[in-house]
Amino acid sequence: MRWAWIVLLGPLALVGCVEPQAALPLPELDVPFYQQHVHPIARWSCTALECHGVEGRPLRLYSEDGLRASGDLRGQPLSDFEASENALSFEGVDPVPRSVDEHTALTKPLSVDAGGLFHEGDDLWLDRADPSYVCLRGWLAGELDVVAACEQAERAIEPPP
Amino acid sequence: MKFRGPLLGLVPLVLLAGCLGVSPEEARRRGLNVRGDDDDGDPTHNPGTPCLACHAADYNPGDDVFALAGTVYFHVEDPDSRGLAGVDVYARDARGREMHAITNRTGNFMFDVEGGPDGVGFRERSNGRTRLFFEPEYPIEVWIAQGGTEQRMRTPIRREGSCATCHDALPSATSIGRVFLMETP
Repeated sequence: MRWAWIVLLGPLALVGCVEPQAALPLPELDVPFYQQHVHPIARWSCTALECHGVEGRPLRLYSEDGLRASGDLRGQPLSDFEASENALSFEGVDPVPRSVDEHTALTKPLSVDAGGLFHEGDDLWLDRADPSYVCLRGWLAGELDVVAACEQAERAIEPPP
Repeated sequence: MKFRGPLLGLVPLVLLAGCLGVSPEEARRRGLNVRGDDDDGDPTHNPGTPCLACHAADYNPGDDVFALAGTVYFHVEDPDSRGLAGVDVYARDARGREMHAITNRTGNFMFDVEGGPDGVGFRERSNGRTRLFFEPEYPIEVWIAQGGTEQRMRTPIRREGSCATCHDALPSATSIGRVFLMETP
């Protein structure tokens, strides 16, 4: 029996030496694309003053109806500075994800059943085919050919009459 | 065994330590700029303050527990005491269940709950109150109307039941300002 244990210990010890999956630095995030296509979705889903529109909270986001970078911006469109800061927040919440699909900004709003993580603000996307997911993923990955998905997502969040 | 005496002497001190200070909820309540008696059961009290600071399911020195409550003003910059009466407040939760209340003389409205998450329906009561027969599920869309004028909240409420938590007195970096019916001319 002793030999059997020793044989088992060998592979177990090696497991500790396995190199973790290589981290993936994000490409530089395109701020104008964020402003035009991603922010309308974030404004609806993420940036409320009780959610990510709070200083000090992970993924702090500025928006027209939420937190402003300064009080005199209230009532004004999102400023270039605020858009840049929001992009930095997305980058900062998971600066070196193992893959784009594992980026925290994508896994937190994604349903746990679909491979996401628990999110205090509930599940925003039931699966990875959600247009909002596709739009945000494309922006984070630097694959900006997702405009159609972004526009579809934006149409879906129009408040009903 | 000879240490038992001093140890017993410490017990009251340890118990007293638990009485020092206040809970975060109590500290928040004390920090509110409330007007007059706020615990008299009158639903017109303290307009403009975050109702659930005293009327939340997990902290309710004000006895009543609300799921959603707030104050509606005519203009965004109106003072705390000048809430608008008779405004229809509509809300729709994540499951499409609608609710309605009418603001009282100080502009206050409040939804309380009698029932579980799967109930349906509501009953309007007097003085700004409406009883829901279900626990509303977030996100909740809200709109208000009076005399042909309507204001719709641009984004849904995600988790906060007190309107005034985000709609503080003055517009600022951290507040969008009062819940109002009319744009300032």
